[in-house]
Amino acid sequence: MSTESRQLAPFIHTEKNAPYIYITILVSLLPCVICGIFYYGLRAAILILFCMATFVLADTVCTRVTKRRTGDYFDLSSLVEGLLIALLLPPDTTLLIALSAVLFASVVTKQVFGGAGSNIINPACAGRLFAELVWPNGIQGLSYGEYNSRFTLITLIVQNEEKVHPDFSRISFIELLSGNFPGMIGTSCFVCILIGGIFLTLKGTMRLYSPVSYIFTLLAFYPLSVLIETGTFSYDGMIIYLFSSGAMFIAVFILGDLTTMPSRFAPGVFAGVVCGVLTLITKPFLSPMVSLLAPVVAVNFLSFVLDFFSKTLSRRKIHSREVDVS
Amino acid sequence: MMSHTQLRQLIAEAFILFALGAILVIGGFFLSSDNASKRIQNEYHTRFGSVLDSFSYEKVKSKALKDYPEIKGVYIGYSSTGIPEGYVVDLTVQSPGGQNLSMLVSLEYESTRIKGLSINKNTEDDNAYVINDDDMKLIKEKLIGKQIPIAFVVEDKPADEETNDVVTVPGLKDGVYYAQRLFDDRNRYIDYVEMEIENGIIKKVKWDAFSTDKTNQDRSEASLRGAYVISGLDWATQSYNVCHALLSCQDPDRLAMKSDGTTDIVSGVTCDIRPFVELAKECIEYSRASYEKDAYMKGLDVILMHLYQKTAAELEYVNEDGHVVFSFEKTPEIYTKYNDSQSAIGYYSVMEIEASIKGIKTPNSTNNNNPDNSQDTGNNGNKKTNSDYDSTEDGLNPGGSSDNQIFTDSMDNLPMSEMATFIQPVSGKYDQTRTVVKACNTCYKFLKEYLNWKV
Repeated sequence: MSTESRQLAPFIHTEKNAPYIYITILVSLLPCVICGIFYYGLRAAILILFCMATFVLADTVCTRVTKRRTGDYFDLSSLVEGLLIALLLPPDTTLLIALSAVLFASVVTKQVFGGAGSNIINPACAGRLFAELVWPNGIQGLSYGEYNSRFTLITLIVQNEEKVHPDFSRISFIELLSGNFPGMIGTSCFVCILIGGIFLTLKGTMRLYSPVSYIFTLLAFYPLSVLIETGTFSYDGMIIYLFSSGAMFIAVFILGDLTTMPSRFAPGVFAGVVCGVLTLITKPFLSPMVSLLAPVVAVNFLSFVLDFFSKTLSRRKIHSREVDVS
Repeated sequence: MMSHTQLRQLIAEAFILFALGAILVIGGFFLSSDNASKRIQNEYHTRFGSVLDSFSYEKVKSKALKDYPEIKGVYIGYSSTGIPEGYVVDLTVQSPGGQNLSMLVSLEYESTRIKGLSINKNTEDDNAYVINDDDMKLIKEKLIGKQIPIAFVVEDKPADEETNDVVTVPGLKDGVYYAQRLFDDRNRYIDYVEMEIENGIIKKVKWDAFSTDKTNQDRSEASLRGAYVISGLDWATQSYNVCHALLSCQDPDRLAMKSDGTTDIVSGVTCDIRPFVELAKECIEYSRASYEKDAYMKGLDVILMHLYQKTAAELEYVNEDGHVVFSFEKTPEIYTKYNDSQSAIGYYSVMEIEASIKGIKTPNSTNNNNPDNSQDTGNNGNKKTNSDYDSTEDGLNPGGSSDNQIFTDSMDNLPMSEMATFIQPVSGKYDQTRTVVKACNTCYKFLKEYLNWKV
């Protein structure tokens, strides 16, 4: 063996290394970023950049303080998590609330567990949930229509007193598809989320088990859930819920996460189903975002157990087959 | 690590996704914006239909809205042919008890008559002011079709007005009286007051100032043209307001001038009213002495003749309006009153100076103008201006009880002279009617600023 080809372990046997995966996710989120900035303007752009920058800063400070090996490459996971948090926030969120979400996500849910790739729960999901639970009123700013201006910046400092609660009953299908309705910065546009999901799937950086099973579970059990809750059901209501609640964004970019979701088919499907069922159960009692994110956190805790049992069962099968052959 | 090929490929894909995303978002926006605007118009119809049923509505964007935090939004309703039909103002005003009343007021586009009134009952405000439907119906009957601004026929009148006893300064004789400052101010203006008295009551008052530079406009005209700027309303409006206040209270002392020359009781007046108060008092003294405007002008001629051996006309000091445009500031000894220690303690009036030059006794010699701003208590040898009232406390009306110290000449910070409609409040529902009227008057104040109306 020549000295030029000599490398230190661990040896990378795949093209899909960590930077590649994270860059791919960043690229897949581009359409959602464009949508958020187009509809909500400068404040959305500032929130996105602020969350990404502060997440990188918080991660860097944590790794320096704990004197942990930072790796041989720039940790792009910070950028991805920061961007995901920003896209899950309403456009009128103040920078203080965004900062609290980022710090919780970075320090408590990521760095405490060992940093990128070691976290049990999805940092963006936990950070967003934390902000929603700590600032329940501060996270409702959905300026739209006459109240929305692409150049207003005051909401980054002071929360708007006027809270526009969207009435989705009159929203047309084309508005739902294009994201032209009040929603979170990056979760409104179904088409953009779909493009991002297709891109991730084509690049092989997203496992489809959990997202697909999650969406199918929502579709299957939504009628029952609504019938129990209100006594009436309409397909329009189901479509509006799927497109406007942020469920599609959660499915593609949170449940498709390689780190915090089960890696095998059966546990992945099981996690997606459990997440969907929990979402529908909690929907009548919690705010829309909490009912979407809390089940994801629950499933994140469950996923490594599911993976462990799945691998053990798999090994037992191989072992018993080997015995049979002999 | 990523290879260069991977990186290049990802960058190319990022560009494609960016372009694709931008096209879809912008295209989607234009495809769906028609629906979105229809939806917004539907929302407007639901909100405003009860007060102004227009084909479409458009929100007014005006900097004037910043001055009216109580107004949440102003909208113009258009007919199907695009003709503006009226305004809808969405606002929240405070009731006399400090509660919030959220309501919609619609006004005709041209005449600003009230077209509709509606209370927003869906408010989540814990401190919301409630007017029941029956009361609101009665208030609507009183207000709809009326021109704004609106005042009550009886609005917190002081006790003396309620008894219909007009307080007047005693001893006034009918005629037109005039007084002007004998020196100009730092802007080279000479203030003057002209007062007309009928049946012992002040019927007309005019306060203005002419410039010693004949090419300049009078102060009121200059203020309206923006050449003379003071804080608050323009000077012409403030002058009008204070003259109107004098007509109502009939006594300059009751304007409650403070030691700094301002007053708190005349709405919209923030300027120094000392020249007005002093000249008005001078006019009252002239009235008591029957020293009319013509006599005053001749008196000025006498002074000029004494100083320069020529009349005002000969000196070409008379302007087009007949005022003697001359400042005696270079000869202060002619009009300044000194005490024994040669300190200035007041000013002589023209009537007194004329009498002094002619060596005759003045009919009713008084002087209360004091250059060191101290109140005239009569201790310095001067007679009091008014035997009935004595302003002993800064900014308060003399003579009145503590409950009757504030002279009301306005409603919702609008002078009574500006009111277009006077109504009686709904019987037994004063607070409710008052709150709704306040909302209507707030609309007027906004529109006045927004449309740049002149008083």
